[in-house]
Amino acid sequence: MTVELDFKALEGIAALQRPNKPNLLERVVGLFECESPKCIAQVLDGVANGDLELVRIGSHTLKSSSANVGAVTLSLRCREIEQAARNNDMATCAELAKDIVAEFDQSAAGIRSFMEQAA
Amino acid sequence: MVDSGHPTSDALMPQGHQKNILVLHVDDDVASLMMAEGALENAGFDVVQAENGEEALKSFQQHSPDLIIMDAVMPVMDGFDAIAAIREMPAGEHVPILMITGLDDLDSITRAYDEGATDFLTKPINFFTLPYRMQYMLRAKLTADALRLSQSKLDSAQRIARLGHWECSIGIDNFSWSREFSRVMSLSETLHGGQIHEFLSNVIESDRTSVESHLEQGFEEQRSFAIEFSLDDKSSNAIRTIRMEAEPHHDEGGVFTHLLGTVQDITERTDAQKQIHNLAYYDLVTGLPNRAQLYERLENVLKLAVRRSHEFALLFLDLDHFKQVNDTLGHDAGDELLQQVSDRLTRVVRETDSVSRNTDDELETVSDPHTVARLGGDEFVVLLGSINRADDAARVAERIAQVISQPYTINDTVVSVTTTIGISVFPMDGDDSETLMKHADVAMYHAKEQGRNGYQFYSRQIHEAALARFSMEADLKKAIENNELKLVFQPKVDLIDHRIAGVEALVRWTHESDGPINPSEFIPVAEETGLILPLGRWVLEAACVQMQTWINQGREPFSVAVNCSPVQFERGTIIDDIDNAISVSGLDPRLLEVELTERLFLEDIDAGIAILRQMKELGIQVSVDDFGTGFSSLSYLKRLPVDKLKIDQSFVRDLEVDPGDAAIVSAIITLAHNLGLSVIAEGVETAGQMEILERYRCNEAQGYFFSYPLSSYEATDWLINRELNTITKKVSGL
Repeated sequence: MTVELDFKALEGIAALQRPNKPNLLERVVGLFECESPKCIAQVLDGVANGDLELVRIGSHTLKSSSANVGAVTLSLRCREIEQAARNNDMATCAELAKDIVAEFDQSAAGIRSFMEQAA
Repeated sequence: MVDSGHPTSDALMPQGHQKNILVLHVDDDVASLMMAEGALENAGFDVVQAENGEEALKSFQQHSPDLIIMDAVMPVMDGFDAIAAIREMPAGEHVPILMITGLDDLDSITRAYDEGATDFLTKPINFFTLPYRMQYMLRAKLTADALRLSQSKLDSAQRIARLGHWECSIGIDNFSWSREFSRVMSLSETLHGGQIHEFLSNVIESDRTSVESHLEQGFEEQRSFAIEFSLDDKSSNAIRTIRMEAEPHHDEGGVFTHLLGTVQDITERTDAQKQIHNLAYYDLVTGLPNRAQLYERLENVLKLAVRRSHEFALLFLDLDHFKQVNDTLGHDAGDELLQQVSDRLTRVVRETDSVSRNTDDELETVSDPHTVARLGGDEFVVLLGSINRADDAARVAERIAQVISQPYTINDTVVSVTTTIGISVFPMDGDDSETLMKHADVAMYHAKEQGRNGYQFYSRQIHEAALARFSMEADLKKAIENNELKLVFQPKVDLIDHRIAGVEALVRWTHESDGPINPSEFIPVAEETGLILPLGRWVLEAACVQMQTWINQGREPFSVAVNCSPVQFERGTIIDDIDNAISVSGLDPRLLEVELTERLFLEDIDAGIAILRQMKELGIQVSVDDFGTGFSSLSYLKRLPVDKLKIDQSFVRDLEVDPGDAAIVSAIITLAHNLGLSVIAEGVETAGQMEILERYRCNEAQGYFFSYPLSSYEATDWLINRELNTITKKVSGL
């Protein structure tokens, strides 16, 4: 499995950096790394407990935050899950959520290595 | 790191402000908050942040941000509710709010606008372009602010000026108007448009048609217009003066699209103008026109009199012994006396108006033909704008002297004053204002020398002529009352058998001291004074009585002709006068012939015909006198129910020597016969004239050739002789 990453998004965040301020890219990526698992947990819990609303909230938040850091595959996956949740299609949600943890892990690793190279 | 190339908010700062533009960013995604903060601060904005709607409301109240970026989906309170709440706040009505929504989430976009969002942006946010978007929103906001400010200034200015505006597209009876328009036009302020009847609903009835036709013409001819009208202001129950102006507007292609107009309440302005005018042209004590206005009116009357060549008169008067009233009773009493005098003067002049038979339309439409003015002190001037003759002015002066001399009650004190009047008459006494005023003044001093409480014309001839006519009027009145008038009778002869065809009754007056007076002198006086009414009635009655007397004496019946005055027609007494004469005398109405002049039918031919029909119903004969001298219109002659034409003596006089007159007489006779009318010629003095008339088959004739007018005694003799002659002729002819 390969995930698509858009490193231009990361360069864009770095470009927003203001002088004499904490490293913006580091903070945004750090947030992504520590907040995303919470969202993933919401999606998975929702699937497990038949709670479509929980699935929708988790996928919606992760859709945005992953898009911010250029995690294209993960963001698209979240969008599909959110759509299925809106359509009350729990079976599709369950099917789509199977690989979500792996996709996040790969995305986060890819982003981290890009940052190390850039530094 | 990219620092350059970002927009900066500095350029947008109102001058004098040192503070940066403050953006409130509301988002539950902390990463988004961080990135946007970086982008916005780089561009020179200050940023405050909130993570849900509730925090946003608190932050808004605390920081009063210039712009808001609002995420849609958030915990605790979402963005839609937050926008709605901010819009309810006093400062939040106009603040620009950018709503962040999910891509393709059309429902959210629609809802965002419904709640009051200014604009929207879809996720993921492009943080590089975000500052530009902020800048655009800010500029739009400043423009809207400026527009609102300008609108509010305009509203205030229009309210202060009481100026409203309106608009109407062509061919649509649908006007729209501003709030101030509603106020000015006394309409409900909730009404901002409507049809023309609503648009003009409070315009006073008499002005509405005019306003409507201006509007219609404005549309039809694409023309601008300005009109002033009166408005019934329901709220204050007052009449207000409104000025409406309009101009046509065209689209870019030059096609006329609509009328744009204003209405302005100019009541106060016109009131002020009126007041200024009053101060300049009216006397404050009496409210009469002052010297300035008198001169203005005098100039107008003068111009008109020159053009129409008619006469007018100036009466210059002051109050005798006014100074004593002022000195003994005080100035307030003096002013009170002046007011009462001016009331009486105005009343006399108004009465003069209604009795004068002046039908000068132009004078009447220009203004009152007469003016009473106060020059100052106790001096007044009465301008009689149109008089028939000088003695009209004398009559008014006499009446003024009489009315002014009645006692006045002032502060419970009875006061008497008299007035002395000098009169100048245009054009005899001067042909410009100054001269006429001066001469009226001089005449007044002459009058004072003659003794006060009187009047005097500037010109002695006029004075004497007026007095003479005056005395003639009085004498004639007395003569009628005392039965001093007599009738004479001039026989008329039938030109076919030379028998008596009838007599014409003529009135004669022998004055007790002045001897016989020509009817051409006293008849006009009788007509002007109305004495012609009793006189005319008497003549008709006396003529019929005499005729019936002859019949009773065994004379062969013939007709008696009586001349009637146009005044009897105008006053509508003629039918009753005839009826009375017939019933008093018992005369067969077919034997009464009424002679009328052509000029009777000039003014109102239909009314004339109606009266003629009534005469025919009474059974009398009607003839047209002086035919050919006036304004004979052959076209109406055939419409008149008359029996006879009388050829004027001016045509008969030269019948033997003037072929022109002969042709006219011949033509009149032929014409009359073709219309079924008989013809009589008057003024026949020679046998030659009679022969010609006989040849032309004229029916009757009268004149010195046959007989002078005769008294009733003489006429009786003449009739007897004539009968004998006729019998003799018949006998000798056998």
